[in-house]
Amino acid sequence: MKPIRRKRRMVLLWALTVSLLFSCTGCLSSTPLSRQSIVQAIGIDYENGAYTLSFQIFSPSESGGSNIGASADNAKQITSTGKTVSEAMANSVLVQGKRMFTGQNRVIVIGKAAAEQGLLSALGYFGGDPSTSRNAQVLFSQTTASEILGAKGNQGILPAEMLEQIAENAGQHGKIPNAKLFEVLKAADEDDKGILLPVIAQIPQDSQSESSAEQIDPVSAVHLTQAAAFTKDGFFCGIFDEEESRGALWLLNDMHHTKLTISVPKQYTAALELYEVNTTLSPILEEDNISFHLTISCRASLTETVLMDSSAAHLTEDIAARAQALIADECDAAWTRASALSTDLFRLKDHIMQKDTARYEQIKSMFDETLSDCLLTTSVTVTIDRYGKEYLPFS
Amino acid sequence: MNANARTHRISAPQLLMLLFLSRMFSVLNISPVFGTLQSGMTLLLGTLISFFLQCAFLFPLWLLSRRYPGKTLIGCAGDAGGEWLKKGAALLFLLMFFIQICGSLSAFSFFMTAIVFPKASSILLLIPFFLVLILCVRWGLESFSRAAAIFFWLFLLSTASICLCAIPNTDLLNITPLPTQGAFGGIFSAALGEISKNGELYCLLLLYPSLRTPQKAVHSGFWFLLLTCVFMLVTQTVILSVLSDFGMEQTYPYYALASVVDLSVLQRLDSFHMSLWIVCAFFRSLLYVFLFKKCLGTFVIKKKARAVLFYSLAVLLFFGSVFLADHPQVVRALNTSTAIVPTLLAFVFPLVLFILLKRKEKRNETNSPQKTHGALMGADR
Repeated sequence: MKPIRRKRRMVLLWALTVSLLFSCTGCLSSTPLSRQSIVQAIGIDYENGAYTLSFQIFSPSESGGSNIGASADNAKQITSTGKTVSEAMANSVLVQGKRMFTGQNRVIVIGKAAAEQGLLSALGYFGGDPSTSRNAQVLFSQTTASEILGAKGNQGILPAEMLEQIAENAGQHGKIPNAKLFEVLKAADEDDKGILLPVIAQIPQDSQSESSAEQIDPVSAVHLTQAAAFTKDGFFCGIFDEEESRGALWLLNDMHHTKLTISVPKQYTAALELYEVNTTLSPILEEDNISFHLTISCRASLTETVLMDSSAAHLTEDIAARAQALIADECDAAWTRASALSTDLFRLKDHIMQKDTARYEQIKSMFDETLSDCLLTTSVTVTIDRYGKEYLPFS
Repeated sequence: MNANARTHRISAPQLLMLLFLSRMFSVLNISPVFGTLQSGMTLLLGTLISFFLQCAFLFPLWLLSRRYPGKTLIGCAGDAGGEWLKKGAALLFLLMFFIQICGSLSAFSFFMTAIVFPKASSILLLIPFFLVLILCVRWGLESFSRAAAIFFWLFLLSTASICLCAIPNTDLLNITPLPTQGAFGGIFSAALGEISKNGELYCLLLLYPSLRTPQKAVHSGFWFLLLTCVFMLVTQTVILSVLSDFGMEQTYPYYALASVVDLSVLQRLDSFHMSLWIVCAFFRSLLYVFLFKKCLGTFVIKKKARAVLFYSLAVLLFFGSVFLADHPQVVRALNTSTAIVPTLLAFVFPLVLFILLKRKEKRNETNSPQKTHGALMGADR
């Protein structure tokens, strides 16, 4: 290449690089970090005809030092109100002067009153906002969301992170179904099936402790014990208790690992850890009715056995049989509850559509009302093939 | 072939990677804003069928690249029908590339303002993009083909990571089966929609003389179509199995998938992937601007005059892009799923040219037995 031409190209390249530095693309609408509030959790309530949003924001200045200590209180709560969620989000700037950055949002808690207005009314804004994380856990509070966000743990981690981990662990350990924002939006958009959200509630405080010296602060002030059912239109319709919630996990094929406790009074108590779970829900389409068959096969590890007044002989088979019955009962409880609520919470229509699309087209508009006529049969197999660190000579 | 000529040519794999990156932008940029999208098994089967249909489009390329490896489609038009056909073909391609470039730049701007910079002006987004585009076109095909070869692997790695991270969230129950009525119509519509977006088919007809071995153009074309088909099937399956029909209703379904997958502490990977998508937009626009400039050479031979004409038209391109960026309804109206244009430009027209050239050769052989078809061969780059 000739030196003059090479020089001209270098000049052009440098000119272009410098001109790019002056590009106003990022500068015009940028907001410095100091002018942003990093939102960790959002609570949505509805009162007096308006939505109240509670934001739990990360606030390291609250620690009083330059470092974030392990026991420091790093969060503060801000509320704003508006006729819609969008308006409340916009009004949040007026409350504290910083722009809300929801890209790191971990949890969205919906209060009961807001849920009664419909899930899409509460969550639609967050689905459309490109900066909001769609992996935020969505929780339901039977009271208000703001009191959940105001609860504090004493481990030094942010309450939002704690709420997120509680919800994730509850789902991963086969206790309560959990749902991320995009899953809730997907269910609401599909318009033909309901969804279950974990119910978060404050742990009742024991007011009987005699002195502050004896009082031990709880690790967590909130817990999950139930699931809230929402109709296909996104309206709250009922509660699933703990047994029904576990049954819902089996039916949704969301049970991956869990523990079962088998307790036979005056005989034994045993704990099983199910480490491998396979679930298949199949529709049985007959001319006059539709039923479903649930097949569950599990592999389990016997982690604890306490014998009382019982022989160890054939104990493994007995434990396995009782575990199978327990799982079947949980599934039946969930099925009965969903039928009573007349809501397809287990994607039954999707199963029918996969098997026979024409039949699905026939029944989709009336299916929820006829759900109580659908029967569920279960076949459960639990195989105990691991015994943990201690092996009793079962035969 | 002397050493100087070789340095201005690219290899078949480079062409494949360049075309793939260019095609990827239209794949990643699909949006219900600009046209109806199919979903479920209809979409997957439509993608598969479009692959087989597009393979048929390689037939004229195979004929021309074997028989006339040194001439582009426009050069063949000149030999077949004289100067008027040559200039007519060049004008047609110019018009196509003009629309494609404006459409690509406006789509890029629309994506950036929808997802990355919601409050930014589209002009300020397009200015630096366009300036870099014009500069890179000056450096020639070989330069940006080499760059494409690097980004190709980064892009594949990025996509593979998205798909792997999405696996825990997949559920085949989310993929809706074929509808009971109108299934074939939906599949065919999806297939035609894919073909209508594949402008790279006729880019191939203009680029194959730039290959070191033009006869391998069909190989590049076939692997390009196959790789695109596999990519689309895999990513569409992942999107549908994670997000179901809800995913195809998002403004950018591929972006929606990237925004919901995470791997442990690695979250919001969509921002990383977006940077690679911007690169895809760049290569697509670059390829079209390069070919636009090549077509201009048909009308203006002198280098300085061609440069003046090119830069003048570049200004028009820029303002056309800005206009479309601010009027998505116009883009929607221009966006057609009929596949007529690629069929005419990439199949019918080249086939007709080949037939005309063969007839002309026969006539020449009849009139003058000493002349061979080699007289029609010649470098035309």
